[in-house]
Amino acid sequence: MSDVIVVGSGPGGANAAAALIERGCRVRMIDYGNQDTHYAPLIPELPFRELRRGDPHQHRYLLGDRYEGIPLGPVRVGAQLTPPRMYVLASARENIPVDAPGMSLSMSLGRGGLGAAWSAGIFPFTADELRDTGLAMEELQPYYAEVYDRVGVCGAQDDLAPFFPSAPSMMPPLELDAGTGRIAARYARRRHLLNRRGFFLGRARLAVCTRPFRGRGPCDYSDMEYWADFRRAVYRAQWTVDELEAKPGFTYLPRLLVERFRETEEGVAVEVRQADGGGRETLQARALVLAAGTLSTARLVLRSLACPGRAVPMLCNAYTYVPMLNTGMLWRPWRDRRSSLAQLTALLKLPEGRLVQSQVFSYRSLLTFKLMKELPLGLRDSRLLLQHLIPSLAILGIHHEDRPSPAKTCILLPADPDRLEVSYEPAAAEVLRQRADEKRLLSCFLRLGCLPLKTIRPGHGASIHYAGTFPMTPEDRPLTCDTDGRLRGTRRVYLADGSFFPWLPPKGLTFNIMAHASRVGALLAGRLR
Amino acid sequence: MNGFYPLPSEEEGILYARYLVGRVPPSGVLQRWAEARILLFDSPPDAADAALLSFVSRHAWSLGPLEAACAWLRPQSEMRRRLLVMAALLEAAPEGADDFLPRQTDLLTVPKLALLGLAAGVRTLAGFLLWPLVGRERS
Repeated sequence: MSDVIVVGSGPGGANAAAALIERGCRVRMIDYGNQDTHYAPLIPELPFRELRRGDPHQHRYLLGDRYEGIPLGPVRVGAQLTPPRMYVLASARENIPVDAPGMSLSMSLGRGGLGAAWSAGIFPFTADELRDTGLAMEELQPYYAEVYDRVGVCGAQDDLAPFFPSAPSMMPPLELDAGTGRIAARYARRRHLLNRRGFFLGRARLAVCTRPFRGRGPCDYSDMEYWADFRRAVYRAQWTVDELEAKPGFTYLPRLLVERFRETEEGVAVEVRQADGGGRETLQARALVLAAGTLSTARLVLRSLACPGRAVPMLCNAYTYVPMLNTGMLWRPWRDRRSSLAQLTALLKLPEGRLVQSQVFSYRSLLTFKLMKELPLGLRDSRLLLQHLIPSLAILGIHHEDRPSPAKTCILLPADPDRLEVSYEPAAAEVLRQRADEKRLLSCFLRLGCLPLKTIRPGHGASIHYAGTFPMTPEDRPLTCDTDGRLRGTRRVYLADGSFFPWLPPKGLTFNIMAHASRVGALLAGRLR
Repeated sequence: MNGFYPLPSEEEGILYARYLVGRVPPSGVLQRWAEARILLFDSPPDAADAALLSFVSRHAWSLGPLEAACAWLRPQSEMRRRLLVMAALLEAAPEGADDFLPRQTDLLTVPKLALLGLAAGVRTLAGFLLWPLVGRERS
């Protein structure tokens, strides 16, 4: 019997396992473990433009062998899921189905989970944002530091520092490309005025190595982040799993799907089904860490604790894209050396105390034809215009906070097999407030010379920040978790994915999930000792 | 194969490529076009889409204006989707990369954009004027 079974290899699972292994525990990680072995070997390690001009096989990985990289419908969620990244979502619909009318849900059975296609944004919570969890910043801060040291983070101490707790081990930020450099320069000139309006701009803090780090990086500015993991410069949870596989005490068990768990005298028994062949077996451990992803964890918990028909909360940051014309770039030269990830982060602090967070990307390596269909012009004219316009395009991704409400729920419907159903209907007032907040944010970007062209709302679930099903709270309530991450109603089952957030600040979750998972692993290791 | 193909694959591919980038596509792109056409357009289009495709196959000169009008009147039309597939195939070939990669911007960019915008507007307007003819031929 191992000490701990960790379910899932995403950012939560990988970091919980790492914390446990670093503290001397024996860990088995159960994972479905899809990987891309098809496209990755085809991609030459070249900068994007060079590859485009030279590689006769580029159509295979740019469009996919079954043309799965050509989106023929309206704007969809996960535009960054290029054919080499599509394995991240593969076989999820069949194996872990969710009914979610009106929502676009993305779930993963890939090695590294949804984190394998993560855009690498690092947004630690502030003490105020943690308050509802019952955790003090001092309790989580050491684990933020632990994750910084594990994943490698670049960024700058700039105007965003008050909103993101500092990190002593941060690497220098990525170089800005020409377009976002113009925006940053304008901000520097109008900073005081914009700060008075609650608008703050700074360099994106990213899980990217800008210097060599644990055998990874540095970033080569080849603009290939959406297609390949050259030098492993961008952190992926699977890098941690790879490192763990070389350590004693860690066993990775792929091609398994967890069906349920039950607590026993000695610990926890986990029933699993083999992905190939469908055989079943039971694995035992002294404790269980669930990090299968919020929705998969919800299914497992509700099924295992026999709570069918019982609704639990469901959270997901509302997300809006806004392509903007960066007028400062219209006649200025640009350069190829760039990265595809977020370049800048902007925060709007509203007088009511709310925050709206956004990230500025520039568009280049996701291919021009995908933008052509979004223009209200003939495709030939769109092509010609975009050839001149793309260097002046900035894509703003806006995140809003989310709080639980009776119309945002997740429920396991009793049937054979049981079905997970998600309902997510924000109140009309909430939607109106989000639109008003977006307007205020865009008016600040207008002062930076960025003209909004179109507002695209890809629908509920588009941020892929699913969370809040078993919220962390100091109150002793069923189907919640305590401040150690232990699921109430169990003695040895811990949650290490997005399930624990009682509300969602308008920030990417992944880094906070990793810090929480590290803390869960560390506390559990102490308890097992 | 259940799709609706008013033109043989190669002829249709050449028509679309000439419209999009002004020349005949390389043979590899035409091969992939034939494959993609079967894979992605395996069900027959509705009557309006079929009429549009037939009209354009008979009057190749009308492709530009009608497609521009489609962007407003039928943005999800089968013709536009087929053109998008051809655009993707052209873009993902080394011979076509420079037709899609961004051009260096300079002081002439703004006047160039204004001219391109004007031409696009004229083409769209012509498409609106042509649009009723498609319906008339169908009836």
